Amino acid sequence: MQVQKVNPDRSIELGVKESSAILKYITIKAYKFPFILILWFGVAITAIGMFISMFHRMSQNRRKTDQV
Amino acid sequence: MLWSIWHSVLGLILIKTSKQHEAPVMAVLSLAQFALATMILGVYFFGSKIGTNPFILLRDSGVLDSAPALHINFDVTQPLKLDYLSSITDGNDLNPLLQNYGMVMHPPVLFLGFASTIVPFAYAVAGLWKREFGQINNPALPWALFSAAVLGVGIMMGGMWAYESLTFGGYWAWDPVENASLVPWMILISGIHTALIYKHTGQSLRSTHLFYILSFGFVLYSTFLTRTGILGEASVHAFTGEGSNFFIHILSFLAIFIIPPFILYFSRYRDIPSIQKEEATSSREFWMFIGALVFFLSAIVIIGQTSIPVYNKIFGLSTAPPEDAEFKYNSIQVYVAVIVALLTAVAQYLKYKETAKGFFWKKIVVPTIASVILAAIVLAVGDINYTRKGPVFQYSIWVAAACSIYAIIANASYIWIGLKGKLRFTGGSVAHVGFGMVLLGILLSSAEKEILTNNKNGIPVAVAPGENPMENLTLVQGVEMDMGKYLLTYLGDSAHPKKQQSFYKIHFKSKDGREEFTLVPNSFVNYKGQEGLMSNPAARHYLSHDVFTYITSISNPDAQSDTASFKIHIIKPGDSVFYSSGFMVLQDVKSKDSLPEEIFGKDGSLHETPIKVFSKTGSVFTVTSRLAKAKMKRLPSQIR
Repeated sequence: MQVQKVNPDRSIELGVKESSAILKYITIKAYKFPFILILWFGVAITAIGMFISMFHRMSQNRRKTDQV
Repeated sequence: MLWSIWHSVLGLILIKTSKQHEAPVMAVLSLAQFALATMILGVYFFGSKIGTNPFILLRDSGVLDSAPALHINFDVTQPLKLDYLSSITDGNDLNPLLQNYGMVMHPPVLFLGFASTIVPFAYAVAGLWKREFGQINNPALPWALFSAAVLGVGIMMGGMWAYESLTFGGYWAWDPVENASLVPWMILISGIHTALIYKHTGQSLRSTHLFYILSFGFVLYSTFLTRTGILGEASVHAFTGEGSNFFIHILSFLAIFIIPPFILYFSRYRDIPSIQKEEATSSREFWMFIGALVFFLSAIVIIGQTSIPVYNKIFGLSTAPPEDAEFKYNSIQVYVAVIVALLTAVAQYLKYKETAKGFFWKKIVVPTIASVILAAIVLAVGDINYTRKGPVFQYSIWVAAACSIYAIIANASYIWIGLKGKLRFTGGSVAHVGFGMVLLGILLSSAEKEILTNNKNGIPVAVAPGENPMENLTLVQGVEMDMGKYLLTYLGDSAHPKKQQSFYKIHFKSKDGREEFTLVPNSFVNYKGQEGLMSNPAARHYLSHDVFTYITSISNPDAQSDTASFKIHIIKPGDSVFYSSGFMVLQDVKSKDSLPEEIFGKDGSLHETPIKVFSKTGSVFTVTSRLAKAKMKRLPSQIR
């Protein structure tokens, strides 16, 4: 609201403005994922283990062919 | 194309290393290369188009044929304008959901995984073809391990990307395409285990061949599922179908690589050496084989459930996918997890062929007791209360979690108890520890996944279609909101300088004061003419949990601009004015004299009008408006 004029008879001109857009809002959704790190680490460790096995089997194969 | 590039790389390594198997193995690989190359041919044979050429120029692709603005005289029958390219603006970027670093890593790794499954397959076919059944086992094994590792990482990278960037609410949704890439991996894992059994005992060579063949077969099948559009609505990965020619094309690809190996396999089945003697139940291979079989069957169940749209197509049915598809998978796979985790824990402590009872019990007793204690602590403290699907499912989760803990502990201790920590031999145990962690992580994170935005404040929520209003929370800018253990404030937003993308600052403060952070999820608003929001979540990572949020709806941006104008009321003290949500009363009009000259100048004036506002919601407050004639633009808040 805004007082725009004060008259000598103590009456005032009051400007009133209503805006529908005073509420600025967002709607969100939030999750909590517990212990998700165990999963990511698990994946990494599984892959590391498989690579260790792979190199182990590769060197095994190589030794076998050397013997032949 | 990516696939055939990887095939080329793998082929070069195979030429170097495959020795006496080179000819048949490379024959299989080259045939696959040929088949893949036809997919990017883009040539017409007798009126039907074979493949799609990825290098085709825009002007030849037919897209511009019906755009009059690009043609001479705006006539589509005329050729294109010489400067037609200047009308095509550059930089029409990727779908916003794909603008993520995950998009850069996931496909190449996944496709290396897909492509490398052909190597065990090619060895298996070579073995059948040349009747060198057992000899392919050793050279194929490292390849199978490589493929399983890369494919596994590739799949979970996709999961991580989904978790971090896409708004599926998680890393795994049993989406048909996720399943279609998981299934070859599971079969390959089964194949690795049967291959190890053969290596040590001479048993189960037949199943090794079968698993290697099926693993590549299901890679092709998953291509068929994704690229033909047969999945339709059931999947986010259902890339556009490329017409019926492509359908037949890819189906024949599938047939060429599945039917001949199977004919070979069954016609020579009797010739594949096998040992008639039953395995002893105290042997490692017996339980390993059970595990491999359970894993394989579980893969078959998954692909069976995934293929519902395919049955519909073949038999003309209209079976709808089940109402709660995820639970359909989970309710079965939780038992697979129990069995597999348990076998993983125990089997390493058994010896191949036969195990003395005392030997086994002596070694396994310590890890078992440790696991029981730890599992009890986790279940007691962890408070895993997943009651939504009934008590049976909840207890299954408990058992599965306990078994995964057992798998982790038993395998970790086996590294020292059984292998004395020799790194070279620890691969299997390390991988099993990791796998146990994967299972445990999946169980804990999904069972304890919490929706934090329980809407309890009663403010009606503006939700996007398909969202549950009870699971969404509306935040008004600057107003602190209560959300469970957090207090949330929407601080404000900022826009991307070039795109229609906005970033929303949301401040999280936990009530116990231990966590305080700001998340900035972002959203594309009506991007490229598409209505609505495309949201990218933001997450806060802690060691024990992640908090994860995204925007589901925003206030209408068009209503933001303030277009209302003042309405004039002439009133005296005591008069009231009504407005849309209440009324206000003018209390008084005070005119001040003897104003300080440095502020108001010589003939300044100041009127103060206290106004009492009675709002419909019941709140009453007083606002004082002022009208001044003064030198200074801004007045101090108090004037004597």
